[in-house]
Amino acid sequence: MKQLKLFIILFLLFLTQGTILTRLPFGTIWKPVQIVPDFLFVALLMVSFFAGSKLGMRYAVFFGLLTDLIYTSVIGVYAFSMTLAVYLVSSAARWLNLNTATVMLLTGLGVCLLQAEVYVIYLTIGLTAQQPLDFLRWRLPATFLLNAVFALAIYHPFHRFLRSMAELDEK
Amino acid sequence: MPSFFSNKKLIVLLTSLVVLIVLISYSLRQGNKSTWPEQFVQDTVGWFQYVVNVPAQYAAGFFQNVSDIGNAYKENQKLKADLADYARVEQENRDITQRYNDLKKLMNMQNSPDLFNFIKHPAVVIGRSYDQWNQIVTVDKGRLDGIRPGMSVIAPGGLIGTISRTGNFTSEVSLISDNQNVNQISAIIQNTKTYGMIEGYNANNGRLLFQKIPLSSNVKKGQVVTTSGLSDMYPSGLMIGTVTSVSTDQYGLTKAAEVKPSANLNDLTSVIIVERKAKTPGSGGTLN
Repeated sequence: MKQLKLFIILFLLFLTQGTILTRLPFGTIWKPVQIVPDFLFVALLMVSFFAGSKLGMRYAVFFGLLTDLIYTSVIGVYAFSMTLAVYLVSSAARWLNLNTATVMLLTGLGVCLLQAEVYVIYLTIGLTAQQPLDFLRWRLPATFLLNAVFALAIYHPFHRFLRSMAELDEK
Repeated sequence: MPSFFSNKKLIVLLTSLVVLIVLISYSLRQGNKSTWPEQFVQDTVGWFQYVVNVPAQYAAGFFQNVSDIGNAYKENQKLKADLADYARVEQENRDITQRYNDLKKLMNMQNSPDLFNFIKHPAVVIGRSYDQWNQIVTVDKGRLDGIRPGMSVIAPGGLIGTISRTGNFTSEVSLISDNQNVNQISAIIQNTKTYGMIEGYNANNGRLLFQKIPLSSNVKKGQVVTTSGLSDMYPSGLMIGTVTSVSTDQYGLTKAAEVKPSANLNDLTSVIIVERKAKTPGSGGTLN
């Protein structure tokens, strides 16, 4: 039951990313700055922190593939990058004491890691012509801030939900 | 880093890298055909996107209405002025159509369709890729509504892109700002005989690159660029944008210009998919 609820939450985030959030003028208010809302990935990272990295990675493969099919023209890039980023960040999280601040920092860095992976792959296959300097200067800082703020906003309710789910599994 | 990657994990990583490369080369090569699992996923998610979009559109529409009320008086004045002209323009239009058809009949050409004739399929935008590298928009009309890959798509301002993939009930539009949009558009400067190609998009300043213009041509800032109708799928006369700057290309053999798209690519809610009536050898039909 809880698993189904988690799936529905993640799927709703996936949908809003492509529908409601693209109607908000994130990318257009201030021209060179690109702000990418990657809220699904923030939620995925929290799943991997609080409900086990195996579960997080399984969801990352699924939603990565879905992102590839729906929002991009090349299959596999997001599935690979999301899974790798979830793995790396959740391994790094084991060394840290998880509280609000560290989770914010880790999710923000995780989103930047995902962006960097996808950027490198897209650059090699010629899907983007963005200059590396523009990527570092205009895309990463703003994206980091937005997603860290979103992580702060959902931290408490989502954390409680995932904890109760993990306890249910242990019983 | 031994703590991050043990031997077994390294093998998993390498295998998934190989799978990734296979998948990438598969989807770059495959072109316009989408396989049935892709279509199934696209249609299923498309339905959910449609449902999520209904309240979103209401909300967006409400704010639009509020800001419109402020402009109502000014708009009304302008509309009244336009209305006075409307009857005259309509009459003129009817006359010219009549004369055109007569002349065509005279030349025995009444059965060959015009390059600028097209059928319109209105569609609603239900999704859009959120990373700004992919410029892909999903619309709610698909194969069952007669949409085929390669059809051009217009919004109120002008041309915005081409259908790249179709599912049964939804299809994907690759915008002219997409870097993967390899479909070059054959374009012409309005009211001249100056042809060129739209080849690519500069994301930094939001301009289309209009290239291969003959060196002798007299291209000026402010001229309007439309589709020429000479390419495979685009009907002629679809507005693309206005010229903002002119230069010569890197080899000095042709001129190149930058074109500001006339449609607002950032705010797309409803679009029109255009099916060209004139057949081309490339699209499987026969020339009359």
